Amino acid sequence: MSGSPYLEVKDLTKLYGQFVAVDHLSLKVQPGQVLGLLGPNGAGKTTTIQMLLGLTTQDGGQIKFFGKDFQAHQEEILHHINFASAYSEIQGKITIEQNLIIYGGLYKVKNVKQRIKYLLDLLEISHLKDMTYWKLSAGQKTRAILAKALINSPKMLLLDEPTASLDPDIILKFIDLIKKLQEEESLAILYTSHNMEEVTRICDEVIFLYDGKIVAQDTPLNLTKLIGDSTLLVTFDGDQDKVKKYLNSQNLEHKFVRKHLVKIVSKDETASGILFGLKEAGIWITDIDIQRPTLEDVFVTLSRKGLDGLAQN
Amino acid sequence: MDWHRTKIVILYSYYHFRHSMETWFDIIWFPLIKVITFGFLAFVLSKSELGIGYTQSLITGLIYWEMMRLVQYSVAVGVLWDVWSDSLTSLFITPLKMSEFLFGQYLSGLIKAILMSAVMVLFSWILFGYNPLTIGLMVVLYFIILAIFGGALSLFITSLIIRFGTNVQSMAWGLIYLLQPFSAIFYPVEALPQFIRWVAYGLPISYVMESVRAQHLGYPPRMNDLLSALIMAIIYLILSFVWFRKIYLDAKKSGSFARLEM
Repeated sequence: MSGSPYLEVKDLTKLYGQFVAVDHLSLKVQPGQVLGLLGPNGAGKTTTIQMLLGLTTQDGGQIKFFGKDFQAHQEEILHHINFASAYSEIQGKITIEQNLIIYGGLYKVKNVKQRIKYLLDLLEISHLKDMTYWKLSAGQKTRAILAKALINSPKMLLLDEPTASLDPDIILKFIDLIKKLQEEESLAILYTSHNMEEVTRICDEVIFLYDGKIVAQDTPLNLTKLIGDSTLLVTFDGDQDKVKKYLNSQNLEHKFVRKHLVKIVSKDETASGILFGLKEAGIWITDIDIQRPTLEDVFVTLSRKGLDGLAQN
Repeated sequence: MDWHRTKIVILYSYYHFRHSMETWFDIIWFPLIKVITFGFLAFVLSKSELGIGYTQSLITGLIYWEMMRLVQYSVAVGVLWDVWSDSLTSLFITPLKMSEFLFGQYLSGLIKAILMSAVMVLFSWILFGYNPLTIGLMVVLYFIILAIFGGALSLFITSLIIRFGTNVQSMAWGLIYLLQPFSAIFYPVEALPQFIRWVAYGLPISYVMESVRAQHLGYPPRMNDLLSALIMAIIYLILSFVWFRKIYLDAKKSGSFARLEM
């Protein structure tokens, strides 16, 4: 992904009294890129998004959308970005269609009725258009919010836990839709979620925030490497001492979970060698399982142990 | 200020009004009940030594009061409905500006107030034979003064909602009643104890009501007082605008504006 970024943030800072909520944050989102913004509660994700949307005033740094300074061109820029969150809704007393007419009007969308029809069909909620928002189920509400977020055909979308209340099948549809929009319209997305599987599938790159600072930034795959090596679980038939002797001879960190089940810390590429060695040592292997670290492990380690937790791995 | 977006806010308010039984009650039901109750009261009082002129001013005063209340109510409760819906941030991440939102709600409030005042006038005329419009074109000046003062009150009360959130939501429909005893709607300012009359003299509505009463009693309108009331209303509007702006910018800085819904 190249060219000028849709979003460029430099040294963004937010203070609440003495508390530094966002600490000199810098990031870029390129056209068509999905950037994940992760971190434990209080890491500064929501404050960052609020500043990017102009809801909260920054104390320092610069935000640029499409190469233009956000503070100087806020009205123009807001026409081309949008936001969806499970926690930010639309007017509950009026119908979905009326809500979309209002938002379409505020964004000055041309052929707004046509756009509304397209979005309601796309999100499979056409039959709900005359229902008031408050009468919808949680999943239906999320789809209505997403329709609102797409009403102005944004170039950049900020999504804050958009799938928080969706059923798994709807989440899959949502992911497909996001992928489709990303590919067809070069839609750039800044994405926060607590669903790490979703983040792994959607995001090209992930930023981990901790205490308002970026502590890690990479692809989801590379980030999982921060947490350490894979674990090889080997179930065997025979003498435990023989297994212990072989693993000690190879200096492999291990732990017997049960009498005939051993957990071995290894790199993926050495797993086959370990298995071959065990077999050569006369150990009969009955079952194997490789557990690789996930983005969730990175998230949990960071949330529970902070930066030191990652450093220890 | 973008007129297109202001019109969209008026449409938004109209959609909401169509679906909200609560708003129907606040805007239609209560004013009508009041005009009927005060109509009967005026009918009884008109038989007393107070005479028809005084009792007519009671009804006219009530209608003006309700008009000003509806303007203030529409803006403050209009904001509250979006706080209750968790939709305020969704509105303000669009190009919509706070000034456009408030002005749209204000115009929508004015439309509701004019329509409702017309209905109240009809009710008082048909049911009790009192026509508050007999005071002539001065109606327009009274309306302008109260619309400006209502706007100032709207901004002040909305600023409290933005500053303190739903903790002070009842102020949206209740705070204005603090002014009622000093507004000279049902009795002249002279009826108040001397030491508290200064409050009434600080309110543009009291000058309007005194002038309305004078006209109903056959005297000319109090033009000098009305001019003072107009200037006072404009000053209040400017002060409340400056105050609101400060509160709004502070709320954006402290992050409380974005958290208003939670």
